[in-house]
Amino acid sequence: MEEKYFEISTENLKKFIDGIITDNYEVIAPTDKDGDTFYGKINKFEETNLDILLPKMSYKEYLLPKTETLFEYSISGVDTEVKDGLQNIAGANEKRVIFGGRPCDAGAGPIMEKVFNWDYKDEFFNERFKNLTIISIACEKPDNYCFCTEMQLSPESSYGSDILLKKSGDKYFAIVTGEKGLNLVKAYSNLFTETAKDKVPADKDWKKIFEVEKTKSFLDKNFEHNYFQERFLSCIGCGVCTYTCPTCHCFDIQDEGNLKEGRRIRNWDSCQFGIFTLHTSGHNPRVTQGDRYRQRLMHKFKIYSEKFDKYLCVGCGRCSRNCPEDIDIKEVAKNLAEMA
Amino acid sequence: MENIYLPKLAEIKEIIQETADTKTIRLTIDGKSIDFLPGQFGEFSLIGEGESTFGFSSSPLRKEYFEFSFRTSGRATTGINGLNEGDKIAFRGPYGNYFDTSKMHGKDIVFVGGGIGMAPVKSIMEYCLDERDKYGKITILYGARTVGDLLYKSIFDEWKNHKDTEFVVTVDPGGETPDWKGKVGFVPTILEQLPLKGENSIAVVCGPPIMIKFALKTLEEKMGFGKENIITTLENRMKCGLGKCGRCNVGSVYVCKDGPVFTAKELESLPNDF
Repeated sequence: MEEKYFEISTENLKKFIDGIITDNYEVIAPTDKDGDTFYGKINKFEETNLDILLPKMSYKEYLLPKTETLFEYSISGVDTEVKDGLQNIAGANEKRVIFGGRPCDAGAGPIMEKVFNWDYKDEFFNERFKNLTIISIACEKPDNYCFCTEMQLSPESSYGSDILLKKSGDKYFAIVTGEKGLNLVKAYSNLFTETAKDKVPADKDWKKIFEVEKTKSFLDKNFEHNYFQERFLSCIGCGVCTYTCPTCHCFDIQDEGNLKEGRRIRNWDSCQFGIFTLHTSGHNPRVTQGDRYRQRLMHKFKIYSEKFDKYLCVGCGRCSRNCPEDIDIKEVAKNLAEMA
Repeated sequence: MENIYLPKLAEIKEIIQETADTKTIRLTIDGKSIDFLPGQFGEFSLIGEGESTFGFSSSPLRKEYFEFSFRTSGRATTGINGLNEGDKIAFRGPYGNYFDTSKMHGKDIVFVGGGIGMAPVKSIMEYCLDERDKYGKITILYGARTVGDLLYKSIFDEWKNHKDTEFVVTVDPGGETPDWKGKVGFVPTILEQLPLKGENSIAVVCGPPIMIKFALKTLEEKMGFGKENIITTLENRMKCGLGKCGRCNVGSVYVCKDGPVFTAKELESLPNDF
């Protein structure tokens, strides 16, 4: 479908969100909790916090939950009963809307989708992703940690959003990218006014401070470079970069329960932990924190792009903002590009 | 909608206590083996204790069962170690690439296995022995730290009695017993003493990283094997086996999907990340 364009007043946007909540949509939006802002379920528009740039965490957990049941089991004598975990999430998210997220977070979904459909299809991910409706709001003032423009997106990118809202005075322009967004707009057509593309304010000329292709070309040739070992000596391996990242998707599989009943689950994991690659023999391919941070950079800026022709990073900057050692991935990627 | 993480239940037909801490388990699904190729692997588990990754150790041509060998070392393997014949093991697979036997037809082959690394070697080796006429001279070199650490002792005679097949078994210095009849020496050292030449030959090498490193050096530099004719496997830690969980990669190569079988030439182009 070709993009369609609408206008909606700030007042009507509030009515729209309250309306879909009344219509039994589950709306996930930036909302304040414990002195910070996270994506969470809201019961009315007033509960959103649209003043902040980005919630602390991405909304990755709505695509790849922190813990997911792959199957449940019960064992009695020689009989093993297995209940497929997919049954629990069939049709998941059919009436779930992510509202008020940013273009970086919206860009992460299609990037992860490629990993989960490479050869083997992960229907857990697909089932959650295909039904989700994403209504994002373009950023007006990215901060110093942001680098979505370098990562082939922009603060005003509609990539991955079903509807992108761009604020303009006391109204928003709504760029509708597909059927899912259009159906929602049509259901509330009294709140939206269709407009022409040329009425929508043009995107600003966002400047890049490095070229990611150069970062990749450094990584292509410098696996053994001292930079990795020296720069990441300060890394304490806490893994917060991977947990807060909207595209980091590595997981662990564990059994939880006993030999009678329980479940097999997958949990978020992190390449920053030594045990991640530890062999049974005691051998570990990635011994130092430098080895492990290098893996994260390699996966984001080289490995993924060689398979899927995009990068495994949307430039949201969360890994830098949340890093207890203030490792700024934007600076790192820029340094690498400069050394290429 | 298929759940790619859902295992099948396989029945334990036979358990062979190979050494004090290793076993071979023979399994069937619906009363027979499954379709797989030598070099491939699967995820095995006692449900409730977690999955482990093992390569198949039997020849795919033996249709009555499929088998794997394992050392008891953690929670999952301790669980499997406690099972009896008739019990069930959860299984997913087969996954990964395989040894391409079509490229080995008509050639001399040397199989080199170290320790529990003999398990994947056994699969491809027995596959070749099952169709003995398709290959030239076959040499088997198997080494372990001590006599007590040698797996598959009960079938050594079966291997050795094939025509035009030489079987050499060795233990590391200090690992021999008074009545030991085999060789004493590290695998790469004994390998060097064998009358092998690189031309029209294929080498299959599996074992601990240090053994692989020196065995490859010997094969290439002293015996003239081309890097493309030396085949080995990588044994990185895995969880999903499906190219998703993100831990088995070596550079841009995913061992679970692009491997586990690689030629020495392919390994040469990979970063030192394994």
